[in-house]
Amino acid sequence: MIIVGGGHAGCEAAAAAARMGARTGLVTMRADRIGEMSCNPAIGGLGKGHLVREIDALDGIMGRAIDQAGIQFRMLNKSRGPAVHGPRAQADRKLYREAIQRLIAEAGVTVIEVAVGDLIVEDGRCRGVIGEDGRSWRADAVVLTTGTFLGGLIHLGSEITPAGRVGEAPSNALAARLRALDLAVGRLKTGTPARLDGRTIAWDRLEMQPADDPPVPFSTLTERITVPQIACGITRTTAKTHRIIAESLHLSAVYSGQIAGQGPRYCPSIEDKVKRFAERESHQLFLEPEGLDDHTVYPNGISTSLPRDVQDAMIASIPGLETAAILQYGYAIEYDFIDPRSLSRSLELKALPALFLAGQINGTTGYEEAAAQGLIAGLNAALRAAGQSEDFSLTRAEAYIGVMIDDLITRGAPEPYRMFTSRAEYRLLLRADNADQRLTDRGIAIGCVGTERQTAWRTKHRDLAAATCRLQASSALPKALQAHDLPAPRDGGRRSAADMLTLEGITIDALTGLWPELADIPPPLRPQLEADCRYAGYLERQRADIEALHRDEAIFIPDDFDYHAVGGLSAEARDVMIRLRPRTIGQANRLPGLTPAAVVAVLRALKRDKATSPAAAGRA
Amino acid sequence: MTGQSDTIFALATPPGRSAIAVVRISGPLAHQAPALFGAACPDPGRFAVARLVDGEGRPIDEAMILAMAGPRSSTGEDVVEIHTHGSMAVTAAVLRMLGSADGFRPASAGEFTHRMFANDKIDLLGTEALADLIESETDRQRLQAWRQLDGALYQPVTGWREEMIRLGGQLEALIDFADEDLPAAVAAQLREDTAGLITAIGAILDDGHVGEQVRSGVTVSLLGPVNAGKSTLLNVLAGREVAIVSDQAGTTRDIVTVRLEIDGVPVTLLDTAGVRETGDGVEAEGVRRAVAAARQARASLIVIDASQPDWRAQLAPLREMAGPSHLVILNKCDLAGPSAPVDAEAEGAVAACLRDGSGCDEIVAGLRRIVVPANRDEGASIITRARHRAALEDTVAALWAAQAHDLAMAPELAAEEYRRAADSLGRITGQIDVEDLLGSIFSSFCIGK
Ligand SMILES: Nc1nc2c(ncn2[C@@H]2O[C@H](COP(=O)(O)OP(=O)(O)OP(=O)(O)O)[C@@H](O)[C@H]2O)c(=O)[nH]1
Ligand SMILES: [Mg+2]
Repeated sequence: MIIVGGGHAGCEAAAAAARMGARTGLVTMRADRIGEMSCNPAIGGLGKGHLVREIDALDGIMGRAIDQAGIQFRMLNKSRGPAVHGPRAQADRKLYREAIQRLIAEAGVTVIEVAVGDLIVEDGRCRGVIGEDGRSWRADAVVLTTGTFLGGLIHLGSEITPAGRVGEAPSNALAARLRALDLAVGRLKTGTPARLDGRTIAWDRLEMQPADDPPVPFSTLTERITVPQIACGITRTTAKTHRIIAESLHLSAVYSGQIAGQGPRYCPSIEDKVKRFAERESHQLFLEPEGLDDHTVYPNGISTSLPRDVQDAMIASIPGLETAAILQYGYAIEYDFIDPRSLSRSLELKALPALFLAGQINGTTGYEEAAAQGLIAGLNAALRAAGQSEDFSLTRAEAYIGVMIDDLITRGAPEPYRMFTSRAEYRLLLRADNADQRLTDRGIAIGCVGTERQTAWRTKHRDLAAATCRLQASSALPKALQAHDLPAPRDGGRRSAADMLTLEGITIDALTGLWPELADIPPPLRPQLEADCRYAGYLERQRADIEALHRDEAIFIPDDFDYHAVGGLSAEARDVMIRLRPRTIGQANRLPGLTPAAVVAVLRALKRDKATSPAAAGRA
Repeated sequence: MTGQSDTIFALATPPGRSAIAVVRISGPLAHQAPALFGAACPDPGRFAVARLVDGEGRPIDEAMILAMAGPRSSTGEDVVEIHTHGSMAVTAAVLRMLGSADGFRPASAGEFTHRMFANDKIDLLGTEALADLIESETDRQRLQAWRQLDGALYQPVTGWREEMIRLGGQLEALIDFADEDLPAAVAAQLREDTAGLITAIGAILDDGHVGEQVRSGVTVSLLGPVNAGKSTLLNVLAGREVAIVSDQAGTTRDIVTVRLEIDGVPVTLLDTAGVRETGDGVEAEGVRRAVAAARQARASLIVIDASQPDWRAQLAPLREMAGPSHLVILNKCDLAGPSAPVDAEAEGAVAACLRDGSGCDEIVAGLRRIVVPANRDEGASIITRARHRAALEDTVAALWAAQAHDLAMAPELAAEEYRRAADSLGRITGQIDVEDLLGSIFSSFCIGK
């Protein structure tokens, strides 16, 4: 197995393949930069934190790495319901890199330092890679995780430099090979802010945001966080900042028409913010140190592609940054990505079997999105290399990973794709706290979970089951509830501890007075149990939806299905289906531009085919 | 260009003898249909008169042929209509020739409408309204169907749904961008806008069910002791001798039905057996049916014989059986004492002498009040089916549930309710859950409509 690229997707893919027992080589241009956080030095957040927990549940490395490198852990949305808690941590970039490099070495991944020049393609399959130095490596499967290398252009004011990241050469030979496959390619852009010298920031004049105490780890294998925790600074743009930006808008690469790619709506550059939300007098920004012994500071919230002198003036107009020195100027980068609709559910390229793509090359942003794809691509590549015909994929009702991959291969990436909790229709079920409950057994079944986690999970699983029984078995009448200051039902009926936990603000802790037998439920399990009880009613309501989803996902549409033979299908609907070839009725349901009537028409035709030709049914 | 599905055809007019008959053909081969009969197809949007001949060149008929090209046609596909004389032999020959041609097949029930739907010519509410129009018997039903076709419910529902998706989106922003400094007023505005939606949908729901009544009509049962004059009343209202009237107690046994129209609403009147204790098995069954009919009917007319001294005692249990919506008729006032009109007024009843038809106008006025609630104007009723009402009620319930959650503490639960609300509305216009609906809607259509 060969993994190309040492970013977050590549590392997770390599570690996953190695856990599956595949001989895995990680090919990268610079071994010392494996696990580099090239942009914002933070992991997690809303939706993204869920992805990290899911990666961890499948025994991936991202959660363990950030637990060894996080310098400010914060649970976002902590005051809200558990389904929308978002674990996040800022990282010490060096510690993170070291942790990742250690973890992939432990997994048994061989690192090969070379720039990849080309792929080996035989009989229409990918059979390995060729280095720019002429050496070649044969492999049963290749995972390509090369980020923004396809046609990457950096914009800083009117300056344009072809590049991957600052200081790294784009690998354009490989790009030519991919272009030759004639895949649908789109263009996206993203931006980064200037990096500041922390020693030149007036921290004493800034509002500071401390870390959570105690910090909550990402990985279920981490007992506690031992890295020292620091605070971040918060400041705001001023009227002067906005004036400087407004006057220089024409100089911004984004606004001068120099950039063609589509940028993300959810992460606008400061130019965008000032232009589109002119009524806002000020925008908040976080000053995030990039390491414990690194004075670089990442000013989160003001990515820009304005010229250097404007960036200088802009930074100086912000309270606390008046005399801040810029270490590296902000820039915008635009790049080509492969339309992810050319991938199968296992992230294999339909046009070139045994070649898997993961990460930014598929139109996503973010380390977590990249790592989650790397995991899935790595697992599937290993299954393929081991001669297994079954894919490993997750549904929308199982994991955020399933939501993301389904979105990508069904809807493509009209803007850089980032995970949000609102993308998950079964959000109350897919929580950060129960990722192991949802996924670890699935991981064990395909063999990607090591013994340490298997043992830990079996114990936890047993404890969860025992505690759930106890919560359901402990019950009391209203009078007893009242005696312990608990809200009593007016219907006079008996209530179990599980019933009580559906009420807002009630925790297991509040119930131990009445039911002492609950006191020895281990504290780490409590949030998970409380959340299960709290949402029980809603989960019941969603069950029918989930069953319908799984039913639709089980109705396969054969690859050679003849849409022309389907009656009652509009020409537009037929075109969409022929172009995108949904694999199941469930996926067809979610294709944009398809009316439910069109899907029903296909369903009817499938049923008719099945009735008239057993051969067709067998193929499906 | 249209799709390449097969070409369907059907007789669009009722079978049998008539002035003209229309055969409709839709699909990619439609424009080749005239050639099967040795005739040329006119240009799209035009018509031509041609002689149709069979395979051996023998005449079938002289017909008018009309062509439309998709997507600007009734079904969105290429369409040809052949207007022949309304002869059974002519239409049979045309249909036979089409049926034996390659690529043509008879349409199944509702298939033309299905194609309109598939090609976005019409939405789910539209297909329902079209069915209502075809079924309509009264002016009021026709106008109501057209209001629906013109989007009377579609427009507010899509508007509300957009608004709900917008509100849900704002809530999602509060959840997913917890770390950004979103304006503090968002949550308060969300509550206010949601309350506005609840009020708006509530106003539509509070319509006295007029739309559903206009569409499916109202059933009114006659109820009363034996020999009170129920069948007489039925005959008077129907204007003809439908039920047997006799001075024998227990004349009516089976339920007798008459359909009338009151203010454009179809009303079904049910005459029933007189209510009394009886040893006769058949009559007892009739009484049982009478009581059951009264319970199921939207309203009842209670007929009482005023010449019976104990009529007040008879009335009390009947009111009970009839339920809240009923009208009491104190009949045979001619045989009762002079106090009858006063007694009737005291009971809120209509004094009548049905044998002469007196009191009839007042009875019709009372029926009208039952059928068309006075304070509802015609345009206000935009809910025409029980499923619309159920979906709107679900929507309102979900919005109330959303309002009940604390947006700071449990926004994820409120968000769940917004999704449910938007889905309920989507069900009305057919944006989701259409599979079952489609089956029932399309099968209720007759071929060719
Ligand atoms: N004097 C008088 N006789 C009436 C009047 N209305 C009806 N009758 C007579 O009363 C008798 C019973 O009338 P029906 O209409 O058959 O009564 P019903 O309530 O249908 O009787 P059952 O079907 O037997 O329960 C008939 O002989 C009618 O002619 C009225 O206003 N005045
Ligand atoms: Mg009678």
